Amino acid sequence: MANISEIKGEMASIDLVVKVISINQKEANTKKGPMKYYYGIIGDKTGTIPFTAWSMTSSVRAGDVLELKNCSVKLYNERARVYVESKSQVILRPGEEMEVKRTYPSLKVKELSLKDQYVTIEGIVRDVKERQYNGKEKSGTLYFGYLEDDTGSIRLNSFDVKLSEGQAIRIKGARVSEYNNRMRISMNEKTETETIKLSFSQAPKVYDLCELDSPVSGVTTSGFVVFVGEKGGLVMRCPECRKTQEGDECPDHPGTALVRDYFIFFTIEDGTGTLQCTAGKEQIISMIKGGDSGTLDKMAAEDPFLRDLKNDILGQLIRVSGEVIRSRNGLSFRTSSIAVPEGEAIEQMARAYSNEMEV
Amino acid sequence: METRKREPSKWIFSRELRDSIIEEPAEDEGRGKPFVITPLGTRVKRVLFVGNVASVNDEGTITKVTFSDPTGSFYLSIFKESQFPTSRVIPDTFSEGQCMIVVGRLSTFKSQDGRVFFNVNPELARDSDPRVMKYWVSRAAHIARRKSLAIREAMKSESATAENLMSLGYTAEESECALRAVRGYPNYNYQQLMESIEGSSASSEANIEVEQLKGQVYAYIKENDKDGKGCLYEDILSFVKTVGKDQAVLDQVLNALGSAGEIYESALKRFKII
Repeated sequence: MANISEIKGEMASIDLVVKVISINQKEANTKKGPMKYYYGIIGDKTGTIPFTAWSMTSSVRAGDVLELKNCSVKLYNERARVYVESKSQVILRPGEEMEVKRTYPSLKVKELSLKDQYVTIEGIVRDVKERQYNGKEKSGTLYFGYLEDDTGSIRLNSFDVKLSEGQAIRIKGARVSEYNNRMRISMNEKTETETIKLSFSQAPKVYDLCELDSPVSGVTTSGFVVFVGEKGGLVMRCPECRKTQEGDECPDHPGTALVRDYFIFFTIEDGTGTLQCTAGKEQIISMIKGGDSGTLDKMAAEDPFLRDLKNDILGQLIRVSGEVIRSRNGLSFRTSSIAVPEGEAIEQMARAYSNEMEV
Repeated sequence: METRKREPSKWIFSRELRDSIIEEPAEDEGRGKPFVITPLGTRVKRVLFVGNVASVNDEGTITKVTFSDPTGSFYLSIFKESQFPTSRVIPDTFSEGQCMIVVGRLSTFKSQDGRVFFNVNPELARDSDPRVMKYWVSRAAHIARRKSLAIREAMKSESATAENLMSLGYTAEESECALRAVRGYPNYNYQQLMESIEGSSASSEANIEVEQLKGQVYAYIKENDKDGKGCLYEDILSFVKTVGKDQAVLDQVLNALGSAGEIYESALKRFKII
């Protein structure tokens, strides 16, 4: 019988005694037609590992202890995973208890993905707000904000555990999920947290576009503007929810006067990839000649608004900060700030690459 | 209707393009332009570069523009608006000596002796400045350098895979490029290419002045070679002084143009366009 900590890479046949930490069911279309399978996390006293079971009795629940015989271990999404197949045997051990050592990979914000559902992560809590929630089973206070480290920031939801602005914390077992095309992490009273000392450089890392592969916030990248979409221009926006509105008022906030705003989407390239970005009024202003609201309003009053805007921004080298969003067409970028580097700033960007030759 | 994804532009030096001999048919059943596979394995259909306009020639229905980067030249063709009214770049955009950023699609022509020539059909051209050019040169050199290192790793093993290379820290793109390069250019002299690129990058600061002048000197030689024997060094020097540059810069410019295969010394102290 093997322990989970002994699993190293792919293994053809392995026997384990494990406790089911979580179990979910899904249906997949196979050559033999639609088939149900189970997946989740199993653990023992040495650690935890994800599993997929094509052959498993439907009575298995989280908390059950199982003996798994003749299973295999394969890499899925670069992570080891136990597979329970038709050749495998699953023996339920009713009434048996087992201590499980919960192990989570320690990751930075930029490294988070749905490959690891539970992680250890540390960072500084920013922009904390709170509101009451009423669930089916429980009501309480949701504290929400962002957890920021030196690679980016991510939305953090904390159920009933108070978060303080600027607090540096380590969260063991933070749950990673995606909601509204954005990645987020969640914690609750059962999640192990500790206050730590943490500091990192304020200068943001400038990512290559090929490195932006997951929907995280607080990242900075750069490139030349190579395309400006035709659908930008003036929009009316609800100041409460920030949604653009086609009609005279926001259906969610009736009575609130809509405000004029501008919106464009454009593409940047940096030689390693391409990224479609969106920008609002404030960000557009930072890219146009003149650089003020009046210039933009004047531009917008002219009929070929986008033509004038394109003349200003196409081919321009820019540095953008914001959040990566997963959409139907892949990843896109919502800019929160845009800078057009000039003079010494461009020299610095060039030096980053010149210096590597001297290393 | 399925929308076609825009093919991203590649940041490559003209030398990498000039040394390319492999074409790969377009994926959409051969329609559209083929991809070019460069010696560094870059699969390219669209390029982005920052360079100096070396010459502008109006040839009636078409205007041909030569751009110099620190390793050689890019050649652009711009059709007159009347012929292609949808063209986004008009010939008047270009003037000699100007530093510009260009994004464009590649066209290839094969001569009877098998040589491949490249032409860029610009989609975007905009004024830039030497600092931005320096940034582009440094970054394009960085991209080339990483690809060359990945190629070196791929050459160590006949069974190299993209996964192997990615486990060494190369990106998926760099790994794929390395494998394509090893397959397509087994006997290519990478040292020469990288020396050309590293040289351009290392001295890019000093090169700014040279780069700014290259286009003007090239154009001067071309326009003033009236008898076909080339231009006298003294005449070129006089011209250079009128634009506020000295003999040392001119010598660097002539060397750079010579190395890039743009000019040659037709007789002692006489320079002619190739």
